[in-house]
Amino acid sequence: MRIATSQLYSSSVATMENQQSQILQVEQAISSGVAITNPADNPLGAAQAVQLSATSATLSQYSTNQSTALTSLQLEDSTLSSVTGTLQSINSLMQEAMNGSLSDSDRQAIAKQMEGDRNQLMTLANTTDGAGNYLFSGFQSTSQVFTNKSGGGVDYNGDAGQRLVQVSGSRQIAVGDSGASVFMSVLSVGSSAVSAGDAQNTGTGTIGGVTVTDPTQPTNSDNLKITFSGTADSLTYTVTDTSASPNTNLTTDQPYTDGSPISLGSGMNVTISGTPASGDKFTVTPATAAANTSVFQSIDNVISALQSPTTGSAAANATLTNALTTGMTQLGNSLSNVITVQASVGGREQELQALQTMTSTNSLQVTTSLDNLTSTDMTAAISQYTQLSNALTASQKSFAATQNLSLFQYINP
Amino acid sequence: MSNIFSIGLSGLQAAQIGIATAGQNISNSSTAGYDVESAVFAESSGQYTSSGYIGSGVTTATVQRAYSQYLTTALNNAQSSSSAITASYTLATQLSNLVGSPTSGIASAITSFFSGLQDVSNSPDSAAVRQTALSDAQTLADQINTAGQQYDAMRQSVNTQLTNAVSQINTYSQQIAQLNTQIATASASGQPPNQLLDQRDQAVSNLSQLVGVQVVQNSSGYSVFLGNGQPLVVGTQNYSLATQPSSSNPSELTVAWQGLPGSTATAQPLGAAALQGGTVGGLVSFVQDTLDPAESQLGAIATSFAAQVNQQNALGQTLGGDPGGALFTVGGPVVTASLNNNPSSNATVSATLTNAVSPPTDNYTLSYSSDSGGTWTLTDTTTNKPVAKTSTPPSDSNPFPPPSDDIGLSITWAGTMNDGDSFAIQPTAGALDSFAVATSDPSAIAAASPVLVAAGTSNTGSATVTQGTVSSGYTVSSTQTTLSYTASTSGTGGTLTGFPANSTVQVTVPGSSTPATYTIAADGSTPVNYDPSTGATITITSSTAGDTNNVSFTMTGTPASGDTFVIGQNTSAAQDGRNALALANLTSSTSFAGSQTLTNAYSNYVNSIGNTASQLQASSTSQTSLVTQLTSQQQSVQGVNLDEEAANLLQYQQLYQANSKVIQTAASLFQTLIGIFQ
Repeated sequence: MRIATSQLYSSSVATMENQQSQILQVEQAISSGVAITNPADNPLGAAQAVQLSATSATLSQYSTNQSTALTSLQLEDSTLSSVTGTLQSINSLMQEAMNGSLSDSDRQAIAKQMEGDRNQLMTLANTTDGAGNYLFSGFQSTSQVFTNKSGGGVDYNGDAGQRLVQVSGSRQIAVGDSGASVFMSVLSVGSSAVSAGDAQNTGTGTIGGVTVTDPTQPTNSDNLKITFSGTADSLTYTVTDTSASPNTNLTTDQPYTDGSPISLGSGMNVTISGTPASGDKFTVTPATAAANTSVFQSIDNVISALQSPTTGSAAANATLTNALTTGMTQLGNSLSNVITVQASVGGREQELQALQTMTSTNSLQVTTSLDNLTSTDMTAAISQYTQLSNALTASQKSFAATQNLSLFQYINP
Repeated sequence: MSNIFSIGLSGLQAAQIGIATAGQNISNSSTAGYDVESAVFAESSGQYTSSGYIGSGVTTATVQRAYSQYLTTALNNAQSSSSAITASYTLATQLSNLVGSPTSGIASAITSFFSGLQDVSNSPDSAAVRQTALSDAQTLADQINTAGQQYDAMRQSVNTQLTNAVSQINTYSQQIAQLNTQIATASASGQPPNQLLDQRDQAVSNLSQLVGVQVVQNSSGYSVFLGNGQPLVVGTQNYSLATQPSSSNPSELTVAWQGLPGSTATAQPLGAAALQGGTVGGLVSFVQDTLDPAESQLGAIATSFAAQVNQQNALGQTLGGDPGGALFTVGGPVVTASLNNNPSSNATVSATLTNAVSPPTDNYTLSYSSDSGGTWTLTDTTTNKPVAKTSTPPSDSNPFPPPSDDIGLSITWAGTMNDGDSFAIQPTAGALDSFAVATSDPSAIAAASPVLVAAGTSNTGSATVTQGTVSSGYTVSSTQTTLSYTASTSGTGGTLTGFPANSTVQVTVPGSSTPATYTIAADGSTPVNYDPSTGATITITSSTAGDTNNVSFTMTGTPASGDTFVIGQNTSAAQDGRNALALANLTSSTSFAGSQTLTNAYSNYVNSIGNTASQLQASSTSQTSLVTQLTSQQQSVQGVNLDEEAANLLQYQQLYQANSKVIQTAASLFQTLIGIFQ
């Protein structure tokens, strides 16, 4: 074929330009280490990279959330451990106060000690996290969560909210528990009914703990009252269910024997010992009744009972014993509630730790995929670079040789 | 004897012309559009003698240029396609660079914004965390605005290139028409004016790189036509093109056919069919096939993002306890009246998005025809398909387009239209430039939920309730609603009472889509059944202002008789981050375009731009190699080969020397003859 001379030049130049631009591209990929600088380099890879980098960012956010949640839960866990310790210390003080040989001043001392523990409990209930937010305030943050009420007990100024943190694509975990659920409630299952003696009793009757014989009986969750009547020789008692109006008598005018169990409906019984006076009253209320759930109220009641002098009065001694029995039942219920909350916190911590491992594995996989997609494959790129630069050298040499081939070189003037 | 002299002389002349032609070829060997020329020699007519016809030397018939119309036309067409692809490719590369690295840019700004909201949900009362989220929002807005500006800049660049190309097309058309005239005059002598012919072919080649043309060769020269038959040159008359703002998008220019140069008649806009090939064809197809759809796609993502975030923020409660407002603002659909509308028309057309979470990505035109009492037609200009037609103006009860042709737009108009009027509707074109953060107050992020549902603290049952959610149009009554449970004396279920008077309560059991509905009596006593074995989602709605409306919660487990559940306002809940969490979880919401997350949508956007650029790159490479092949074929016929010219030079030099020898011989013969007489 006939070749136009200008074509020889222009096509060689075009080839070399093309090779140079390819070399530049590969050189850029090698020096920057980035394989996809814009979507045209690899449209499908670019689309995948968008997804992967979003996934990677989301996973790293989950990982941050997990740490945040774990920190909160660990703080709550250690606070609840201290709460348990304090409650146990109060419990042993109550045991100590039960000792009948103590004098009024001994009991005053115990009351003082108990007040110290109660203040510590108050401090724990008002614990704040690093950012100054109360641990047990629900969604509220401004006011102090627990404030003392005049006449004993506390006001809860938080709400029932529970903060949730997104810790994986499909799991939101609760961090923190509301103060009401920790300090102002007891478990509905497994808590003991609370027995109490009326403060106005004039006899020496003391009530013991409630024994459940048949947990299925509906009267077990009712408010029950035991009223004594008759004379000292023939004391009788009546058990009344005061939950519904009108009240119903479960048993009427049963003869009283010191120390023998008194049936409360057909599901529970309780023992009263000593000699109650006619007109003395005792009550058995469900553990979840509003009067029994606040741990602070329970402690305050016991403290105030310990501070009343009893020396020389058998009736006052009986009233104190009854108050201690009531307080210890309530404290036991509260303690098992706190321990249950703590167990659930511990469970959430464990779940978070498992999720942390999983998230970091996923995160590693996504990062690796993203790297494979967007980073230059150096081996391939360098070998391609070598290949291209060889080709360019060949083009340059052949051009130099070709342009030398001209008939004019051989025509002598 | 004189015959021999004249034969020798004619040979000398022929050799000179041959050397001149070879010299011309050598000197023009690098001239663009130059066709190799060759001297055509012919034997002069003989003289009759009784000894036969004696030749009288050589004459140079003409100087002929090598020209293949077939190859030239093929090359022009290939170059036309090539420059179209090159124009598109250059712009697509710019667009692709604009998108940049897929791991940064708008997608990562969206992800950062949602991550920032996760942090807000973890520390809802921290002003610093809220400020960070708001700064992320501003970063996103900046990125989207920048993209909008870059789109505007690209459109501007296309407009400039179109204007330049059109003015060059007009220049070449005029040149071709003038050359037609000159060639006709010059050819009158009978010899072809090779230089003018070369110039005209070069002008046609340049013209076809600007726009695809058909060339018809006839007695009056070249006639040049556009793809749809509109003439640019007919004989000695040229016609002009002009640019004018597009009727569908005033910020874009379209090419129009103006007719005779200087004509004042309205120019006819040329469609994409008329403008195929060449730089102009490439620009037009890039705008139509790549730039506009890509901008709409990104605009739809921005619109949907703003709508999703604003809707969710409205379901929350700010740090100040107020209902959440809009966090982002974004412009609505843009309606533009065509420039060609009848001046007496005073109609105004407006369009709104019916579902901003999933806005349409196509553009539309509403046109009016006075046929059969007046008909309005809505056409999708992206797909060029009619969408809906009506003969009655729309009203609230009769929206346009009707629900059966729903495109996510609702269009209304008022005033008078005239036959042929049209209005361009761009649902999301303005979104990129108008996207902005609506507030600078960090507390405006509605992190808290307005409702709190809680179980009573003295409940003895095992039932738990979720904290409650609200849906659009909610109200939470300032009076707390306390529900109490009564277990059924027979069987396992029970009833809840205490719902607000006159409200409607829907109870949905998991796995069922048909809720049981209760209308609560005016004294509020109506019991609502609850089955502890399945649990249920309970939704309260009410049409009474101020009453709890659109609030739902889920109850699971078994309540005991007398257990209470309280639904109330979530006041001063600075630590509540539920709605911020819901906002953050929009990152996995698939409400865009039916089933896509915003990240998916953005990756589709990146993918389609990348595909366009890489397809055009491939086409550009193959088209370039086609052009290279055709060029070498055409040059093999029409180009100059210097070796050939060197040989020609030698040949004509020898011809000259030989003819000189003939004359010398004749002279020597003459001398010999003269010598006889001495």
